[in-house]
Amino acid sequence: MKNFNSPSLALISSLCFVFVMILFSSCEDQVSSTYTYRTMVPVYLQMSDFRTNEALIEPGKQLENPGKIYIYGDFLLINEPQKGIHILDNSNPSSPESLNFIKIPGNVDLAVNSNMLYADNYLDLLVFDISNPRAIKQVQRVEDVFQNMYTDASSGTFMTLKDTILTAESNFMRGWWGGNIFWNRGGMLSFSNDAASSGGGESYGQGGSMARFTLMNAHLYAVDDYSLRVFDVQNKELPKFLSTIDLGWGIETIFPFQNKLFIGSNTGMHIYDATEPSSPTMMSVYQHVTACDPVVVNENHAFVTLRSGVNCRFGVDELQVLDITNLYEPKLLKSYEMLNPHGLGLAGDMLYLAEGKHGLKSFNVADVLAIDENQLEFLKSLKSVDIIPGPKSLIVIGPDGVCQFDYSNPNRLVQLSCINVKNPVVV
Amino acid sequence: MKFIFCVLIQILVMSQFAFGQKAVGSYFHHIEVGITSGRLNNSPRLDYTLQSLHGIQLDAHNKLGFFVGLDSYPKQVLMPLGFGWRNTLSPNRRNSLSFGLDIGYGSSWLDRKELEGNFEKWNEGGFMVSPIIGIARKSKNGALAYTWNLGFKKQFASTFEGVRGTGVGGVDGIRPGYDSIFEERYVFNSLILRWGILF
Repeated sequence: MKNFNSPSLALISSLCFVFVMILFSSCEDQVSSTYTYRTMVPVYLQMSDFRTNEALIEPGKQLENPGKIYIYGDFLLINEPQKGIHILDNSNPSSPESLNFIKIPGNVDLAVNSNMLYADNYLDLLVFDISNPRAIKQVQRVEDVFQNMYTDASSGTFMTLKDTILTAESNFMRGWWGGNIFWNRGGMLSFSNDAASSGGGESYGQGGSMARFTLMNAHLYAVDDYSLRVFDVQNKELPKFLSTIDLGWGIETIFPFQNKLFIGSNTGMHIYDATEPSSPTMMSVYQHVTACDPVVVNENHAFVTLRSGVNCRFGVDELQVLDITNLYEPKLLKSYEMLNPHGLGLAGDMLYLAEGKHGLKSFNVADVLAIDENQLEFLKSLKSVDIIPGPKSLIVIGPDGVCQFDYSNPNRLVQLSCINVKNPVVV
Repeated sequence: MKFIFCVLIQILVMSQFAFGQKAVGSYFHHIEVGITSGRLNNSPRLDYTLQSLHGIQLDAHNKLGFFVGLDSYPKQVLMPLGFGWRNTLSPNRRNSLSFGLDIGYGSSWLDRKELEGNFEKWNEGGFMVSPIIGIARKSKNGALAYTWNLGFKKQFASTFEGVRGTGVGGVDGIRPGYDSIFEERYVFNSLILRWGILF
């Protein structure tokens, strides 16, 4: 033992003690499994709960998950699906300023007519005076206009879908039922029985009725999944519900142009003649495979994007150009292969096309048969899902936020500003 | 630059001469292979471990070095990297009790991320610590020693399986960009038995 030196001995003794303690404590592995998933949960609500008070006007706040964007003069109105509407002062597109937020549960879309903002609140249509966007007032509530949401009209009960995060936890390793390097490394991929389910952080997403609004000739047109609803807004403070027109399945967007309504659905494009604004009549339906995004139109042509994706079964990734000189018989002129086209924006002869995660493309579409030869820019770093050509700027909605570009020179977009969002869209 | 290069060459040459001499500052290499065992899901678990420790002799008793290895666990193989300390109780005797401690990070660098459509699967490593006790027996000429070590290893690790969401905004409470995510976090507590050569 004469080889021992005292500091080493003390160290070794301590180490031995720790070692023995650890060795004999346990060699049981510790596992904590968490399965977190997002699902839509049906929630039953009473409409009367939302009618007792006027919509709250809150100070401006950060965008979480922007929906429809509406340009009104120097202001941007950005819908937060199921939550309300942000009002932003966009007099300087390089520095938009968040003014306030109108809290409207169940809100999906909006439209503005002569300082009157129309917004859905589950089954009702609300009207706000926004002549002074810094002092917004609710002036009207038109009740029960989206009655299709009622599950029990007599009791005022309706159903909406709540985007919810659920979590299950376990202390077992999934898919491992004993074994070692020599045998049984696999196993069933099922979750163990002790998983406990509990509601986690939750927020509303895009569930329930998906209204889409547009205004034309003093009439408000709202489409939901199945139908077109027509309101007379000649008395702008008091919208008058006129009628419902059944459209079919999977209605997504509505685009007004020269007394016509172009309604994009999952299965095709409906064209309605709204020369008589109170009773639009169907002119034609152009059927395509499965589209997921809207239509933009000029005098002679309609531009439609079709894309493949989770909700776009059998889809292809194409830009289609239709000849609509005869609105009763739209004809496909040409299809152009794209990467994963989402929204479109048309400004004169310039077509801006959101390619999802692949970027943003711009084309000169003066010659609709040679669009692919007239691509102006392909900004691969600019992920985008929708585009709105505004009077002051080109508004691009991307996964990370809402960005504005100077597009006075169509050959080169110049970024002016970006509003970041809390919950980015996934593309 | 030339000076640093010359110093490095000198250290390398000196360390080669010092192999058999076990002089202070000499280079050593301890290579080990073994098995690890633990209990998981109320069942016994048996896996393999490989380790290669390189370092210098600090004094007659102590060695310090850097190790790299390979440890198998259920669902993943980790590559531990870190610092190892070895203490020989009786360096002048042919058979001696020895102690050691390895501290480092078990890297999942060897496991590639799996991608299939919207489905993703990947592993992540974590901190590891491993005290050992054993016997070192010198060869007849003293140039190398054979070691038998018994030890304990604590290794943190995790696996993830996610389904990416598309076209919808994120919500609070789930990792951004995912519609569902399954994550398992482990603390593997293993008894290890390793046989090795020290030279």
